[in-house]
Amino acid sequence: MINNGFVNKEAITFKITKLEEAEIKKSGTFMLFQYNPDSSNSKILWMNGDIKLPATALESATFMERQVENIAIIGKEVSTTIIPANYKIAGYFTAKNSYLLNSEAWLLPRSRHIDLNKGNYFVFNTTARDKVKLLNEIIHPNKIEIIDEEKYGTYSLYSNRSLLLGLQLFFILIIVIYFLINNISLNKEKYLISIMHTTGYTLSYIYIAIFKYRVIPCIVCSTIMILISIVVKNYLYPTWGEDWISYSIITIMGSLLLMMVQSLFVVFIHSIKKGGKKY
Amino acid sequence: MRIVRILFRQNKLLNFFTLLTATLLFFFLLVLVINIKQTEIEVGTTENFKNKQMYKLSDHLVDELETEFFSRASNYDKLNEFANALEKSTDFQYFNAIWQPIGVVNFKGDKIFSAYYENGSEVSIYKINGKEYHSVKSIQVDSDALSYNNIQLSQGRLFDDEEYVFIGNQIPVILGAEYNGIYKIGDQIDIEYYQQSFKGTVVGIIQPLQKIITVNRPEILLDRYIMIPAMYFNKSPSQLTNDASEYPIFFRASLLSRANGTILSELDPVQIRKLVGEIALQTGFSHYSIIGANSLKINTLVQMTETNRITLLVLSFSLLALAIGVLLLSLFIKTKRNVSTYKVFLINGATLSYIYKMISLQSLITYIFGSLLPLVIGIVLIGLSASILFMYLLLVAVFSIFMSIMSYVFVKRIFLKLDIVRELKG
Repeated sequence: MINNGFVNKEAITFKITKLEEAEIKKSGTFMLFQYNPDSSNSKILWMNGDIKLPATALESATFMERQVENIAIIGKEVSTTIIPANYKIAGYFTAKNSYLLNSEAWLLPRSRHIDLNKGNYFVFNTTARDKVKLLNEIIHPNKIEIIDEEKYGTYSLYSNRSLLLGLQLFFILIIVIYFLINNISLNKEKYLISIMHTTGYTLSYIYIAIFKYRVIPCIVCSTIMILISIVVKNYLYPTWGEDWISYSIITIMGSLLLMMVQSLFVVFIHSIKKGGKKY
Repeated sequence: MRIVRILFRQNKLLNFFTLLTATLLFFFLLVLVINIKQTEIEVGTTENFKNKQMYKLSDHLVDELETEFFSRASNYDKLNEFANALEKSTDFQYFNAIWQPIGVVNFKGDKIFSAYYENGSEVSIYKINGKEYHSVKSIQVDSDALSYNNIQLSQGRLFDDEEYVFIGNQIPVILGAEYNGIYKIGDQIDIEYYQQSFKGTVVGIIQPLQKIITVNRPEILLDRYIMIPAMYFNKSPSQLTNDASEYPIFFRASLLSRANGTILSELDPVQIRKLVGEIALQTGFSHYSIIGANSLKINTLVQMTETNRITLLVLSFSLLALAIGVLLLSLFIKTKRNVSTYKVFLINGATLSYIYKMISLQSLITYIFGSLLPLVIGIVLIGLSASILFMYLLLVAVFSIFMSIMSYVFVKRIFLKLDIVRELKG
């Protein structure tokens, strides 16, 4: 995002030609830019929620005071003369190699009212899952026209896009490996399962036993790992959205479910299917 | 070979998973090869610009000054000589990449191709001589712009040298990737360019995500662009005054565009001003200024592509190491599980080294089979180029042989630990 002026690849670009309602509602987590692409490179920015800004050197506490006055964050190549008099410069972008950020000025107004004279072009960045729904909530009842914007910066690197395909392939490989290891590891219990079955234990009893000492430790470990990830994520590698946590949880839950099914399968194969006399 | 067949029949599930792992691994290798090839192109492009400054020439000819300048036929020649001298200069690189919308008759594309669509403007349609034109995004380039920016095509060809010379109303056209499926190679497109009508013929389609770097816009993504050659004149423009009076705007605009090109150089602004000043003195054209000398835009692009390449390599090698580890793990499990089969082989007179060879042959066959599906998909669905296929096959051969040797060494070590011969002797 740094290389393309802090526009997420899933950002919604749109224009409003007629304003029904000027106020921007406070809902969810978002950054909404408003500007005129034909004129200067200053952009009006409204934010809500916990938004991660690009690396910025902030001057004093003015940034914290944005509730009470209009503030601006500007790139180092921007002339301060383009900043309106009623805005106070709160900081500078420090991303050394971002030509877009270095030549932009973000104006954060205190008012939450749109004025179309300042541009009818908007870019909506959000970490929300349902981006269109949130956008409709905050600008309701205004009609928008979506613009299919080109993606610049790292997003426009062909190698970067096909790298994702490589990662997806590897994800499949990991699932195969996981299945394989599970299978081998669970098969080690086949003698125990057979003995328990011939000793007279029911299928459900054997399954619960296997579940307790095979699956539950994995559930506990996964939960601890997820909790640690959530706690340390902001210190290690701050990301734009939180989707990766949700995807990780879904993947881990899926893996645990697969392990449960595999356990059931192994118990079934080495007990009822193999038969044998019960004592 | 019989032994190999027997080995394949043992532990069918494990053998299947090894084959699956090998297939996925080779898919990954194929993607890696494509990526590395693409990164090479991207890094190669930015290498052309690395540690250099970009300067833009801009003429001062506006309104009355322009009318007065072009009122004398000799000034057409001066401007032409100035542009020629800039192109021929060996002190710096000079290229033309001119962002200029063109008009297209019966345009088949949708609004995203419109000249100012990304700025939120409506589709612009205008009429000239009764013909209705759609104003669409276009860039006019010379051969240096194409080579410095390493433009890659998915179909067709680039412009020939003689196609940059203005002769008649025929013009070759190369389309951006998003035009694929809308127009095809050989299609005729009626074009209006600087108020001059041309019959365009589609000669090529650009690969997705190709870019041209300019001073004003460091990343012009060509996906939605129609690319046409920046026109040159084979005679002195003063000798073409009849044409010039017939198409005044086209002649003037073409000459001015050529003189308003981009200078790429390691020299500082003072040196560039001096060199261009000398050219201006020789040719007698002095209505220009030099804008630019901003290396930040180039630095962003260079840093972006290089970081991408490093990330790609680090990630690929870690994943590759992990995959090799998994294949060795499955080999270990398989070998341990097949001990009784090996015992039978030994009883039947096979030597230990023969068994090692057969196990590594089994691995080799598995890897070769594993590489087939990615190869077929690569050829049939993706249509890989010969160089990528060659790299892939080379990697498959190296990887398969390496893994087979590893299997041999690995199995030998496992056998030593298990001491099967002693087990047989009881």
